[in-house]
Amino acid sequence: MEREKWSSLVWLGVGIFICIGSLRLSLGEFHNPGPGFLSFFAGLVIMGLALVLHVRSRKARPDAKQGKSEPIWRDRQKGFKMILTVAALLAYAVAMNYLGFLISTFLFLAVLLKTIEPQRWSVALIGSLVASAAFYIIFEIGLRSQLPKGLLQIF
Amino acid sequence: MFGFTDLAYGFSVILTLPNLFYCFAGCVIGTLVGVLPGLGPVAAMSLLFPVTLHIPPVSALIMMAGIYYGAMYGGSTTSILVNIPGEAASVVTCLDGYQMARQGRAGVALGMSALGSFIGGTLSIVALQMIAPPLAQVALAFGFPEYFSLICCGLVVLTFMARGSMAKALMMAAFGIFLGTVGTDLFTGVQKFTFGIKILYDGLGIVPVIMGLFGISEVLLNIEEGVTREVFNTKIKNLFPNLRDWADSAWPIARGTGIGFFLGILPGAGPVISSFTSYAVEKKVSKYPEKFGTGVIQGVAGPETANNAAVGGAFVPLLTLGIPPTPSMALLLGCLLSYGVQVGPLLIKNTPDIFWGVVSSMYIGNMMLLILNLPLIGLWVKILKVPYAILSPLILLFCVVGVYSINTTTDEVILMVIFGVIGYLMKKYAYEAAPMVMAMILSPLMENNLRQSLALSHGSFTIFFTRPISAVLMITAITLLVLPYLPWLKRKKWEGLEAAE
Repeated sequence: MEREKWSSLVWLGVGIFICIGSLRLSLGEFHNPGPGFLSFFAGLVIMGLALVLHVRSRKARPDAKQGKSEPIWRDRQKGFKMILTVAALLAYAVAMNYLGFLISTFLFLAVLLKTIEPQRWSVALIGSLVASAAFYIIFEIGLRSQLPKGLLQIF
Repeated sequence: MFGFTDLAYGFSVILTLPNLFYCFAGCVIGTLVGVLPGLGPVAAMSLLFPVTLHIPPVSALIMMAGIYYGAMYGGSTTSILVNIPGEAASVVTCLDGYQMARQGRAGVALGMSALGSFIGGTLSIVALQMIAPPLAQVALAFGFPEYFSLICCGLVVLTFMARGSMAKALMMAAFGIFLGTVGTDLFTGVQKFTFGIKILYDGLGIVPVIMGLFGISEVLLNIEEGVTREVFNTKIKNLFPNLRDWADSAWPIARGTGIGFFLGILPGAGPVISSFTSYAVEKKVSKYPEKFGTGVIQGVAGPETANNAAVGGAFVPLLTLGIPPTPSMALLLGCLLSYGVQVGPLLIKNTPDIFWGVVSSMYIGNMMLLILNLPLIGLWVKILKVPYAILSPLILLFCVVGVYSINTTTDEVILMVIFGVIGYLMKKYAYEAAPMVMAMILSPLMENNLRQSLALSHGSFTIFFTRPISAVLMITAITLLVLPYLPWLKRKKWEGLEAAE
């Protein structure tokens, strides 16, 4: 229930943010609704329901099992791996523009293969090399996906 | 009789070498993504988006449709063999399918789900073929208020059927409506919640949002919680069910077809909810409900039929009203629009090759899938045996390339990662993503029709209740909103939910 209490407060904040934003956009009149009209009502509904959820979570008797706020991660190390994956994805998205698809994909795959469940170096390197080449052939040459060239543009 | 000449025309469209190839390609890719957890039809469709720009619209549609119903077939394989649903629509198949596999009846479970899918899929196409043209005539009478009421009704049904708390589902739908309003205002040109970010000017992309919420978040969750996968090493034999199995499955298949098709028509409900409903119904009507979950064939035949029948149903609102009832249909709609095809009541009349070509391709595609799924099952099982530590980076890579291919910008990849984290948190805190995504997809249509309706009625909301079709839809929606709070029904819903769990 502890989780519910906090998550409902976050949604309350989201609702307030949407309502204020919509008011700034102008609601218009009923016969001529403005750009903020629909989102304002959506924001109101979110606020209302978030309040309901919050009150409900406060009223609920904390039973033995769920009373203590359980940590979001059961295993810190694995939680760290998840964050690392997110970071790798973001870095990959940025790097793709500069390094091009082939190099950045190779690095991305190698990093993940070494972190999620560490593979041997030979597996990680050869696997990433083969996979990035295969993706390049299938999507760039086969399906004409126009993947970023980056550094390789000069060729 | 109903359009036999039209259907013959449809077959003349599909029975050409290139179109048969695209149909086959769609079915294979669909089965593959259905088998891979974390990759759904949306991912596959967006990966192939660039190709569709180089081929005729009918071929593109045939391939996209193949991916969609192919994924439904593939999803059941993972549910039965590894207890991991490859597709959200196959979640309930795990309950009895996996138990059947443990009892050495994996072959029968796989065979029955493929055959049930084939029957449900085919019958729903017959129904689509019969219902769509007359419905398109009715749809011509639809004005702004009717469209608005229909969308409201669909979203309410979706939240009503949500597995968790209805309040949370409604809140997610409201948030989805907000997300759908992001972008440039169609009436005034004002920027709504775009914060000067270029990729938001055209609104939030459906593909990055969906792949983030469903694909990336799934992988993140699996990395953090770890997945234990146990594929059966036994040889899969006896794919064809015996007479007893057929006798047990005949009614579940018949009911599954009906449930799937009609729930599939509703905007928002789609294959996922129809498979859950079918399971709950089968448990309810069964003489031995306590045996459900221990490996009864009805628990596989019903839902697997329903989720395929829902595909035929889902084409009804898309091809007659231009309303996409599922995210995959929204992508199909995007594809049609990019060709300049006018989607709506006039589609069947103006572009018969598309409608009848796609319909007849689905007959052929279902047949191909039966062939692909029964004898080739060993191949799909091999893919499942690849360790997740190797599979997950590849799934992430598919998502990245898929999102990038749509608009060739890495900004959308970043958007996908953000929604991946949001989806991960939503799963942790038990918020459902489906109502949010559907609301986001339908929101622009909803806003347009709401604003036009209010302009038409000079600001009076009674317009939604004075026109008969709209009134029926609105009253249905309001009834569904109130129903769960009636005490005796509240109990019933919980019972139903427990049945479905």
